[in-house]
Amino acid sequence: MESLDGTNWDVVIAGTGIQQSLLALALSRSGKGVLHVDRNAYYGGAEAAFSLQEAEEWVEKVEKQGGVDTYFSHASIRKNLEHTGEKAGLGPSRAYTLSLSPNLVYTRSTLLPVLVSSRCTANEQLGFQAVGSWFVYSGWAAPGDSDTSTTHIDSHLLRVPNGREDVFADTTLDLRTKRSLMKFLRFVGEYENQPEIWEQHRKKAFPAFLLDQFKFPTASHAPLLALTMSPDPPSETSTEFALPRIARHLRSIGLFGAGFGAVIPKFGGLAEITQVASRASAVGGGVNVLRNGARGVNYKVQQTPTRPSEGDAQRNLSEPGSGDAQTALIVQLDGGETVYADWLVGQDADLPLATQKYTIGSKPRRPSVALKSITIVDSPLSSLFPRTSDSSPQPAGAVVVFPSRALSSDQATDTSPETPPVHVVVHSGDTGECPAGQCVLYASTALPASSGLPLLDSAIVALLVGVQEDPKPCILFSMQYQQQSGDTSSVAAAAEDSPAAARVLQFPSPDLDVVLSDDIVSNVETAWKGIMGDDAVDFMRFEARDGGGGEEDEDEGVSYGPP
Amino acid sequence: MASHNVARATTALSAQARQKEIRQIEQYRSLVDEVNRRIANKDFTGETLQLTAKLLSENPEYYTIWNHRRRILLHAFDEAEGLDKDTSKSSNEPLPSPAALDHDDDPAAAGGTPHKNEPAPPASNTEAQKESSLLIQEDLTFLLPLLKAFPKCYWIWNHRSWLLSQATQRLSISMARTLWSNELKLVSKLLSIDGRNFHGWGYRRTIIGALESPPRHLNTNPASSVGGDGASSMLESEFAYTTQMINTNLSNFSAWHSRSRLIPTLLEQRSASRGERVAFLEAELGMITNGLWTDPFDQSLWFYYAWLLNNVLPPERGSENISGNSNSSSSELKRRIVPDLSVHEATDILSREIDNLKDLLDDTRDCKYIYVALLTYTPHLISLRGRRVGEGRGGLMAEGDELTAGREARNEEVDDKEAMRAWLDELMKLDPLRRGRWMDIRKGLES
Repeated sequence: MESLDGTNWDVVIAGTGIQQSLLALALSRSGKGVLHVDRNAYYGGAEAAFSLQEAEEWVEKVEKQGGVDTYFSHASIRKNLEHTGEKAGLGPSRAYTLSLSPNLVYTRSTLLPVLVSSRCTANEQLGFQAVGSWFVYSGWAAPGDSDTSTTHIDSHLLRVPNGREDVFADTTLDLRTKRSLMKFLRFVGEYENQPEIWEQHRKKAFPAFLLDQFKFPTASHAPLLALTMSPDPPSETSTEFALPRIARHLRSIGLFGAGFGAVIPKFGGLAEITQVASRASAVGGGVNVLRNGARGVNYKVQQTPTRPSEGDAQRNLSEPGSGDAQTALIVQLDGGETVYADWLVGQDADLPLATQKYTIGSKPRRPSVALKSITIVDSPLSSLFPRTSDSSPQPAGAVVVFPSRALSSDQATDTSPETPPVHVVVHSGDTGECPAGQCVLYASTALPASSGLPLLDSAIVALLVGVQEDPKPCILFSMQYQQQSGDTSSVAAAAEDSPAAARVLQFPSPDLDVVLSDDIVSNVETAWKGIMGDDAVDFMRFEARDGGGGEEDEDEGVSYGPP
Repeated sequence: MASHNVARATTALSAQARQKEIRQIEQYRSLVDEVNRRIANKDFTGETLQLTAKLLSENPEYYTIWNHRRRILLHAFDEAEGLDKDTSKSSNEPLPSPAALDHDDDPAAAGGTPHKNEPAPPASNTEAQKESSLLIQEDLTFLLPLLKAFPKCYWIWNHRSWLLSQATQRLSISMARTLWSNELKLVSKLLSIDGRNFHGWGYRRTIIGALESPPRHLNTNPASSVGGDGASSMLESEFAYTTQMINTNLSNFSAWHSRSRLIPTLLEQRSASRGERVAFLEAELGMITNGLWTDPFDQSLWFYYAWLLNNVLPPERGSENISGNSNSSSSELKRRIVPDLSVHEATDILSREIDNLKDLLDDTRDCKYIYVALLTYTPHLISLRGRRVGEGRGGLMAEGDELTAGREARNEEVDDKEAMRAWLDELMKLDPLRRGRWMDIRKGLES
């Protein structure tokens, strides 16, 4: 491959995370010269997916970096080397695809329509599978024999009703509670039209709102809180946070098929999407380079533009810099090459030495730090994947929520500290992320490593007890890491107030929300608009490439498997 | 009415589109003319059949063409059976007249007479049967995509029923039975796409009827009266099917209705004892209560609830229940869940139900159906109580107790009427469009 040194580009994208990859996709039909670099040897950045071997290498790298220029720290792996029993043990490395970003995507998200209209879902490049059921853990922990162990007593998982028919069929709720629940579900479905009921309480904690306005007993709050997927304990979850999230959950059900409202991408979460997007970018003429990051960027002083100025600085700045020396940026790559570009885009960890940037999407994000774990178990955990009706697809994902305090051993009193909830997203073998007969459990909680790790461990153990399988499922492999959502770069950058002025655009660091935020798409669109300027039309709306299957079927797009 | 407040979008067609449409109209018209001309000339050939297929694919609502198609098919059946006359194999039965275009419900045309003479099904399929079977199956296949595209077109369902009834008449038992079983699978699939298509539900009942009833002799054991074990389990599975559909969508009127149609026969088939029948009634009441508490705004639940309570209310001369049927005939009585429910038992059940409704009202004040139900059944409870007191006479109660019971009943009646006035006030607010009706009921109270 020829050297990159001295080449000219319209856009250099640093890092192949989901936002950068979607931007490359968005630009893939624009005719702009795009250079897409990543200092890693793999695609996906903070949203990558790994085989077992790759996971081990990644953990080593994270520990070596010591939290510098990376969102990750405190990574470790534990393997169960003495697995016995009839069930198969840990398979070969490539039999697994472990995702750093196992986000749930609601059917009413902005990502899915964008993937369809940009033809990413054509020709079965991407598959999505249903997340069928939400469960709330119920049980309590008693201190065990040793200091570190606890015994989980009366552990079971209660399925969260998804709507009227679920409420009808639920045998654990009494009639009054069903009525209250239905009244609330009815309200939430249209809460925007009933401001009188909640507006004045928007800052109030959600449990207080449920109690005061709907006479909903505290004991029954857990399922509704579970649907908010709030990273915070109940008392810190506000009504204005909770209502839209529950509404989104309910409104998403049935949109793409009966019995589910959220999907997960097959084969490793968002990583697969970054691969498809990067491929599309390459087909459109973009160049992808791994093992080479953007180490630093300098700003060239603006020269007199050759075109007559119309006093519109923005227009001048968006002229492509092909050939002539009008480029605005000089970008240094890790490999020592120097390239020229009109635009440089990345997350802060990919732009360590940028001194002037325009920050996209700058609101502070919750949570700011989380401890995550990935666990492989030797059971298909079938009880977590019931088909909700004859016409619904077989789910491949399930959510288990451990409410605040559910895992503490001082259950009897309310004085134990209110820990954040633990969210576990369970992926079955149908996702292609592990062999059939096994499952991958992705757990996270909004705590740093020191307090988060025992909580996550406890949650996984409790879950495996709670499914009430005999023999009890075993852990084959477990990996954990801490991730932060703030900026990591040590260089304080001057903030510019428009994309055009800065030419260096910074995407926000990865979100720690278990549910994929719609901000991702709007951030990409902001960057794209800045780059395209007046030519910014038809964001992510592409025609099929010539000969690339002229399906005009409007229903085609998101495919589910297996049936 | 004009499309329920949605303005009609009149799009001006481009000249090109207009031309295209004019051509389409011309093609369609000439097709219609062609078909009609051929039929008038009694041209019942395969070619004509093809043309009707083309026409009906475009316009399945043109029912006259379906009739023509049936005439063509009957002609073809006749021809096929004509083959048999030339062979040495004995033919099955005299042919129904080709002019008999009425379908299965006409016993004469459906060959009621031949079946009496029918000693036993033929050992093997005759040529005629093979030919007819092919014709029928081809037509069923033709119908399939049409049915999926137009699942609510009466004429398509009608034609399908006709084809199946022809199969019953003309084909061997096993052939016919296979076809009917396939129909059940098909209708289940269609109902899984749209669970509330009443055509589908009605068709299910037809299928069950065909597979079960002796006149069609499709039972595996024709000698038995109500069918052998194979056929009897259909009622159970159908009942379970309604449960499944209700669990999928509570608002399925057709499922609830089907359930109510199945229950009397089901209980009979189970040879349910009185205790079992009472338990069954209680279980159904429990289930519908669960539904009503979950979603009292769903009207389908109230309809089923009314049907259940009609099984409880004693028959009264001149009384009308919500669906407007009198329940006083003795055959109707036999079809009740508990045919010999005593006044005492009925009063207990109704009293409990009304208390339950009042509880529900406490919790949900803005649902008009609850008020309506209370207004409907409270008068019945009053009269039942009166009757219970009345039946208390005749030595079962001591005289003092009798008087007390009577006074209690009258006091309760006063309270109830007070409550009814309050409910009517609420209904005036909730449903002002039916003001007249609420005023009417109110007047009835004062008398």
